[in-house]
Amino acid sequence: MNPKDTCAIAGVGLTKLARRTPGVSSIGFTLEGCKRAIEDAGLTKDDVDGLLVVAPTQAGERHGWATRIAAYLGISSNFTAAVECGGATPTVMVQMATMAINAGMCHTVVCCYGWQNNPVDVPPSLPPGLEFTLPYGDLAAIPFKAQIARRHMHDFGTTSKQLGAVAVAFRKHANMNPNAQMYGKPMTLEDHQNSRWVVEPLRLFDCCLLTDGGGAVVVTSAERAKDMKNRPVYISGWGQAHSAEFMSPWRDPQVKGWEGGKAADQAFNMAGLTRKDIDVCQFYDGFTILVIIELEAYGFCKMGEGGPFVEDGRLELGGELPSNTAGGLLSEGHTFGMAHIVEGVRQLRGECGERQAKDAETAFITGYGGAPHEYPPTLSYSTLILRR
Amino acid sequence: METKFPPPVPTPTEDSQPFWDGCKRRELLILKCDACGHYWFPPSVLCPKCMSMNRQWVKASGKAKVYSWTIFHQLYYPSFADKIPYNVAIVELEEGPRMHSNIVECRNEDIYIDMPLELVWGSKLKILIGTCPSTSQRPGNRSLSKPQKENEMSAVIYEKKDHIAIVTISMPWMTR
Repeated sequence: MNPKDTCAIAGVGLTKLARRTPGVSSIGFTLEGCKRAIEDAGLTKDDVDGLLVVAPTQAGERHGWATRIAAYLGISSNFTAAVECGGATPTVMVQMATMAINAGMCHTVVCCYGWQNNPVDVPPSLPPGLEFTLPYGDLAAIPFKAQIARRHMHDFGTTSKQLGAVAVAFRKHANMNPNAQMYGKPMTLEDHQNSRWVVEPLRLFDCCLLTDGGGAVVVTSAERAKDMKNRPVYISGWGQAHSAEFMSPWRDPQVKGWEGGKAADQAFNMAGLTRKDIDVCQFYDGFTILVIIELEAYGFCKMGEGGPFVEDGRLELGGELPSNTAGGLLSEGHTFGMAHIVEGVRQLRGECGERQAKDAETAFITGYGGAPHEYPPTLSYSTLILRR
Repeated sequence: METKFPPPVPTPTEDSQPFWDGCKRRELLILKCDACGHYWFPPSVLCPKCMSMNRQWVKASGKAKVYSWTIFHQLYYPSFADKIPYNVAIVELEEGPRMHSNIVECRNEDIYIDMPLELVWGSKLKILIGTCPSTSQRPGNRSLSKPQKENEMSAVIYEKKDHIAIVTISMPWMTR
């Protein structure tokens, strides 16, 4: 059975997104995100019978995370799990919710996350699994993306200014979004070029923000969604591709085509749409280089042409492919990509005011995650196609 | 008295212990599949190409080339404070596998993709594995066999060949 349009997103919600919000726990942010999404759908918690949540990887080994969130929320759930796919998790959770609803396990699933960067109950520590990276001074998410960026520059002539074009486009959009962390802080290409190196060839403004916050979306059957408060936003297609392509231990890795392409092909086949049918995109943009890679992987341009593609405002509102219209991870806040789904839904409902993409009927939303600093370094691509 | 923050110590797993034991003997070990001949890294119990569990640790030639490289300008771990800006590269071994490394005896701005490299070992049993350019590529064509003062990496010894590699896993437990 093709699950196209069998389910819909009926409610979305985000908390305040800020660099530092002490006094709220990860669970606190998660619960507030759930409340906002459930209320946005015009539902009560008793209408929800499933819950998926992003696994709190910064908090070490935490048992029963999803079940506890459900208990704090006061719901009796038939379907609950903590999901760990890095930045691909929110899109993956929406896919899983749709599958569970189609399997008859439940009818309404809240997919949520919450993140406190400095949890008072968790002492700072290094995760295990760093034996082949940390001894060289390599740590965290940025360096591996810098390696990919360097190689992309070598193979295709991609430039730092092209990376900057991505950052500038999304900052423009953030300045039309009062909930964005970088609202009121414009950025020019010159600002980008003058920003300090973090891990060369990535500059400070090539890297996403650190954000305390939470958010959620409510997935329900298309049948139920018809009678709910909001115009339903249908889940028309999705796909995933998981790889270790940059340092694959099982084959000769060569940059011929990104393996993420499969995630888009699955989604477009399911939806019966083509790239040309997409009105607005929300690309997982943990780093500027990722957007360039995703444009290539997902077939919006050819391999190696992502750099030139992002020039001339093509990703900006009014451009050929308006993307990350709320500012993205780079300028709205790091929400693991939950805000990408939220913004996709709001665009299709036509709620976005100044930053509304004209006549948006279809949205392409991506997640991108993995374990870049543990061996083997992995990459997870995930996609959603939504329509109104 | 020096109060330097200690460098990170690799924490082996059951699967990788032989690799680190090999480093103590100054052998760069990777796994080779008995069934299909595939070489792989990081260490694991089966061949990621054919799933055979018949495998053996073999010494890599130590010849490698730069696949990609970066320069760290931001401090991520305190013991690297005096090394900033330092490079971290992904190097591709002649046998195929890729791994992280630091390239030493080479200015950061002289690194390039496909730069030939060769493995050398630290003489003080303190620092290990890494990569550095071939003799002909080295600035001033200087020999690495004469350690330079004030340069931790110059403690490296190596078999003199066309290429060299280098160094830089600090492993305090190796001094025991």
